[in-house]
Amino acid sequence: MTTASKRSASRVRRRDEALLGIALLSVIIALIMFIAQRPKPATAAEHTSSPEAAIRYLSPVALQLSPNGQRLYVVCEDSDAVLAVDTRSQRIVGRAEVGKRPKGIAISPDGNTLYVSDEGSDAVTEIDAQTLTIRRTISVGWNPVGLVTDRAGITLYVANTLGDDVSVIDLRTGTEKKRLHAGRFPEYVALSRDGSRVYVANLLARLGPPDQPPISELTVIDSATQQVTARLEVPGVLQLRHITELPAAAGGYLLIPFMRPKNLNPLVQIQQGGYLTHGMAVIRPSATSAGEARDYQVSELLLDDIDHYYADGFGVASTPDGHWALVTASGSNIVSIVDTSRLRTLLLNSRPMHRLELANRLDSAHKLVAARLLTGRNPTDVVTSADGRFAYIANRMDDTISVLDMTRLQLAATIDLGGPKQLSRIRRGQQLFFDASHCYQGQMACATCHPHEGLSDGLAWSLETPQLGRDVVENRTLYSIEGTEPFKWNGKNPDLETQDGPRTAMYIFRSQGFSPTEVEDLVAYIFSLHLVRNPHLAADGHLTDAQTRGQALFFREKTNSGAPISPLQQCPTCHSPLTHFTSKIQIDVGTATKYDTITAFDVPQLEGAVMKPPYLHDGEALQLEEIWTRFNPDDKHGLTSDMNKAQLNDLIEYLKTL
Amino acid sequence: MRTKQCITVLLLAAGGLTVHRATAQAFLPAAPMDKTVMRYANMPPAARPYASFRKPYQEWYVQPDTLEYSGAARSERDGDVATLKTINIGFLGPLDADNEDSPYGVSMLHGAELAVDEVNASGGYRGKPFALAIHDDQALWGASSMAIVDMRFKDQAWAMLGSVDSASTHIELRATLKLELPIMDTATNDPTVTQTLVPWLLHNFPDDRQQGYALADYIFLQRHLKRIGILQVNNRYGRVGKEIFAQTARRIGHPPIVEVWFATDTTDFSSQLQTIKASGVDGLVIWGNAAEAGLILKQMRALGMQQPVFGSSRICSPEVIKIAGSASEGLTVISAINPTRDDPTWTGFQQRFAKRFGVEPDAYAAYAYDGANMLMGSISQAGLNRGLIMDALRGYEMKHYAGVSGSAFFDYTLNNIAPVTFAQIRDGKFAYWPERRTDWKPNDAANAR
Amino acid sequence: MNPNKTTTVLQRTLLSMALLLVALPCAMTQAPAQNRATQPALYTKWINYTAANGFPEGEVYCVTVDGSRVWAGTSHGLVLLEDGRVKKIFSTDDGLAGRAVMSVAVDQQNGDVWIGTFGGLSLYSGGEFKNYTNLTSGLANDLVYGVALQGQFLWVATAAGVNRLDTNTGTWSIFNETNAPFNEPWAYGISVAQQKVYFAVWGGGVLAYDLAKQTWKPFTDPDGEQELVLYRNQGLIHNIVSSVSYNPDTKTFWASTYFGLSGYDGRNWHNYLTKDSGLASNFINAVQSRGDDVWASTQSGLSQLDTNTNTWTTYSRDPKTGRGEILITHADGSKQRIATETSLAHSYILNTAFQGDDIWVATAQGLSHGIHAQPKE
Repeated sequence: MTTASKRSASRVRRRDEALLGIALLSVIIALIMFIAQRPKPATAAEHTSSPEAAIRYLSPVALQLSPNGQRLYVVCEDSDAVLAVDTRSQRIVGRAEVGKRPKGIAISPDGNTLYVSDEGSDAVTEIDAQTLTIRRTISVGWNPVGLVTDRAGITLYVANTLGDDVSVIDLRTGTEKKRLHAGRFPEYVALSRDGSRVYVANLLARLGPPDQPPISELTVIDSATQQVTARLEVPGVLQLRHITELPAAAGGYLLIPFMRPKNLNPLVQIQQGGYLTHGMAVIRPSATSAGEARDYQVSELLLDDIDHYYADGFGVASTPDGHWALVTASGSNIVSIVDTSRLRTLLLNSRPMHRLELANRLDSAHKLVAARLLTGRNPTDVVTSADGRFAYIANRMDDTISVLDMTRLQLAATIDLGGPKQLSRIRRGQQLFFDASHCYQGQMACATCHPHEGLSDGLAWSLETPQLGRDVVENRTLYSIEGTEPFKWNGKNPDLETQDGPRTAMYIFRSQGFSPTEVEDLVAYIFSLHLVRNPHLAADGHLTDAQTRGQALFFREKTNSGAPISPLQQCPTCHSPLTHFTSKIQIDVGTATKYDTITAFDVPQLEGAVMKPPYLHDGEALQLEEIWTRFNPDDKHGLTSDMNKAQLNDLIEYLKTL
Repeated sequence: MRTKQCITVLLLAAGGLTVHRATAQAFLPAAPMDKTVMRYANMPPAARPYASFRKPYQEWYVQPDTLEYSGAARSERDGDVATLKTINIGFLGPLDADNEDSPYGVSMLHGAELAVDEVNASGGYRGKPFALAIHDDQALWGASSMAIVDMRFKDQAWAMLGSVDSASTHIELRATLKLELPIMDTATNDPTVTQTLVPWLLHNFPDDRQQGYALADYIFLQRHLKRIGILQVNNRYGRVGKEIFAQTARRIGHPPIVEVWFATDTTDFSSQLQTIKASGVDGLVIWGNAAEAGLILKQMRALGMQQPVFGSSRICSPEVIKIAGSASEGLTVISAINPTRDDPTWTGFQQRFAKRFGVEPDAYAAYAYDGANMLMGSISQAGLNRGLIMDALRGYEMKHYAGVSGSAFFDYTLNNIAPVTFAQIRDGKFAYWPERRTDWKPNDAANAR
Repeated sequence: MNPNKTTTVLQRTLLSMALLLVALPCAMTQAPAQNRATQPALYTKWINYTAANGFPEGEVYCVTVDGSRVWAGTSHGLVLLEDGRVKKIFSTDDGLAGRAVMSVAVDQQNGDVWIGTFGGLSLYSGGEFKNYTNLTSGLANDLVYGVALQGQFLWVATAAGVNRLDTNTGTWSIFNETNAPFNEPWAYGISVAQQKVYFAVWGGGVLAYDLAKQTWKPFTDPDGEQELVLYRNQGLIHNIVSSVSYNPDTKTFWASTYFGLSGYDGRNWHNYLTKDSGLASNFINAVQSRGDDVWASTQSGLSQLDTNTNTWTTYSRDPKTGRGEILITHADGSKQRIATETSLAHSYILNTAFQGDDIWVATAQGLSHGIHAQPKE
């Protein structure tokens, strides 16, 4: 035992002995329970906590038109299926059962083959576009979403959200040829009109100091070399979603919806407006596919109005002539139709400094937006027909497709995809989760800061005090939080009903908030959320050698030299496996800074929480390692100073399985 | 069947082709054996490896060009003294109180500080003061491995002092082959740091090779003991340190009867001592620290074990007497210095050190003081050029340096191979012998005894 | 036809062939005069990149060829040359993990460049750096000496063991004295073969890791003594190994030490010292082997061994005139000197890389590009 650990241990011994006794007891119980229930592989995304979960909604989330425009293929993430809709009769003419939780779709250039990403299966299902029969399944990286083929139809690019990378698939052999590093949580991809580039939009901002504005990345791949040639910085925003490229005649811009937060300002400012804004990146590409980041021009435009916001931009498409660009506001049930000629004029007439200011101006939209059309609930993907007459929008939360007449800029029809009409409590909660109308001026929905159904957006937010820079706290995941109350880093909300009811109304949405029934629904939905699949854990729950060693370290009671570790310095005392690896109390682990009012913070649950950084209450630890290498100098966050680097690596390997 | 045999023969022949090609390259006429100039590091003749078997094909470390340097460091632009506020020397040592080696590190720092202050008082380097850029040898997460990089690039150090820990010193040594920062090592016992041929290190602390040879000579040839047991602390210091002694004992015909280890922080040595007792040794060698040795002595005497005990230099501390009391009587250990010397070089240092730090200087302080002086002298002689500073240090090759720690002598590997001092507890005090002579020459049998 | 007779004829023929196969190389090696007549292809024209023409000052630690691009690791950052011109010098201000760059490995599949520095590991991808350090990742130590790629795995030689990073899963493994036969944890270099990975371990010899069996095999100095070499070809010449290079053509790995050069073909060791060969110095910073050649980056020149003819060619620079000298040591021990107008930037050599038949050489004072010349009769 080192002198450091001795000193720490003796300090701890001086603490309340009764507490030690309780802690010891809890460790023993925890250990017994843990041995009884070894970690199980996280199950798929189905919302499992209620009998109503048996109802399978469709939740259309991605669309693909056949080249002749006669068929619209619809990916339904909650029913693990792809539907084919005849665009003339507006009837479903086919259905294919795919892997778990399909999210994205691509079509071969000849229109004969569909590729569907199965997020919950780490695979792509290849489907005959005519017969909708499954041809084969191709393994890709972790939690794939967006995908696109090259012009020749022999290479498929698949964005692996959880893997932070892109699988490059050789379609001749059906095998992964290589993997390219993307940014963080790459979600959607697009092939450039000339076929020379593949663009990858990353949902989460790059990891960086929590007191700095986020910087997002658009990853550019040269389709000839199949290598990343540029990583464009899109500053101040996150949640880059779908990508469309306007024709050269319309300026050739890339349009990518985003969310632009002012997370470092106190949240009370939401009542002044402009706290959470929504818009799109407008990027003029480099002249060559091998162009570096500096060869691209990145602008940002907001699509909100001064007094009303169009939250959670998701899908984007343009008419073939490029005149209209359509951007769905998934939290506002609106599609904004942008006149791109005005957009081009605005950009061309703006001096560089003025162009930068556009990112914060709420007076652009009224110049650019020709129409705001009401869609179904939670509009996600949007596609336009080859003749430019129609646009189709997938409404995830009511299982419909909105058909827009693009000549008149109005809703032409709504196609009912035939989902269950009975709304379960979880479904009602899910609808609320995506709905920004409950927030002051519609600035945000729950999903705004918890994108991808429960993920943390990775940002630190000034939620607690009106004082700039004080008590900034990191957002937290919503995965597996049932039974982990209290909530918030200060542990002030005893249950989720309090958190999502009056507290959210008063401190976050600054509005009437949700009704008591709505709160119940929302809580039911949130408690149903789990990580889709934990790729670090084998399907049978078997731990690797390193994970097994790490597990032993997690539960160890003695240091490397055999000295006993105080229960308060043992991992499972606070991260109890009985209760999702949290003790549900607030503990000072020495991570508070001078900008924090309190020093003891809620012990976060670990299930599904260690998958995505950053960590600690203020998001200062950008990697798991840093929790101990940088922010645990006095062994207050577990006794780790006697560990060697290999042991720390093993511990981390185990934590990743939770 | 026969066909199969033929094919086998053919395959064998094909194999023979490989064999032949391999051996074909050895056709050069056998080169004449190098003439051995001296025995490496005072190695006792009987302990020379394979001495009775054959003359080795090649022997290292015994030629004048052992640390040949042909890089480009000398042609780097010299530092401009006019633009510098201080002439920086890096310092790496265990300083944090949590580190069990920190007493050595703190002594070492004090020795270096005293030397720097004294040189600065007489003008420093062309009017600019020397300054120590201090880095803690903190093992947690391997942090200290970057110290030498920071010294070279951030501190703009011209050379460095350090460290005690042999692994840290090896890491510095590996790094400095690339970074070309002269290292003056004044504290590690590790005998392998001067065996790498990296021409960027001078080492003045008596290493475990010298200690091992001296102890073997004393125990087997002077005390005529035959059955020796070894008890070592289970860390790199203990493992590497006792090895030269054990190896020498084996080679001169008295292989250790028993070798036992104990973990750091051990306080109850009964199981180890029972094993040693059962083996019937007539003497015990401890390679460890003073506190551990004190407890071992106390516990072994309590068990009725009256064998003479010998030990490494880290045991030579008043702490062992304090802990073991009368049980320590007769303990014979290696001492890196003789603090009872009465020459003015030592006594003057002793007084100045005690005045400045309020404690008596120990070996780590003395060697650091000497090392820092050698280093500052080399900088003054060579100028602000790391290649030339190392050349100046290399100038000590096969030469004596008379410092407060005694007279050092540096071999072709720039290792101090001057005979070590013994210390024996007599009437509750350490008695030291022999006197170190400045006319000592390597392989001088009389001196080696 | 008598079948026994047929067998006898076949047997005799095969035996004759076998004898011939054995005799042939004997005859070859007994004709040194013929060997002498063949002069190896020489590098007589050198283009140097030094502080004089915009290259960073000081040591060049490593060089890696990536098609028409050349990456050079220096004491002042990472240099990218394209088509023979310095395109960019990357520093820590650009995001590089450390200023002193020890190794570079290019993933030919995805174009990623992995850079080992004294300050951690850097990944250069799509024009951006991403860094991995001891505190922010599973990297064993921030002193990174070697990097090598093997499919999705990145192997990293550090001052505290060898790391393997699964670039797909982000899982770091550490191999050191606790889980592999490392005498010492200080890894220096890595060479990837088809089924094995070889590690140069400073003080620990050469370690071979079998990928399929996940087993380690150490190759260490058999006499066990630092201070001597008992027999010439008894085994690895010394345990302080600075680099290792596996040659798939000859199925031999070569290890450079500060105490001579060692090669092992799976059956026999081939060791070289200055006293028994044309090796320029026993202090060798790196070794590279391809075809029949072995290139030793020594502190006194660049030495090439043609294992076919046992001819050594050493390139060095006269520091006074700046002219080059090529010293050829033939198999019979005879020597031949050739003077060249241009030369290496410095005779202290740290690393080499090939670009087709051309060679790039990292020296203590600049990067050198050797233009290949045709062999002469």
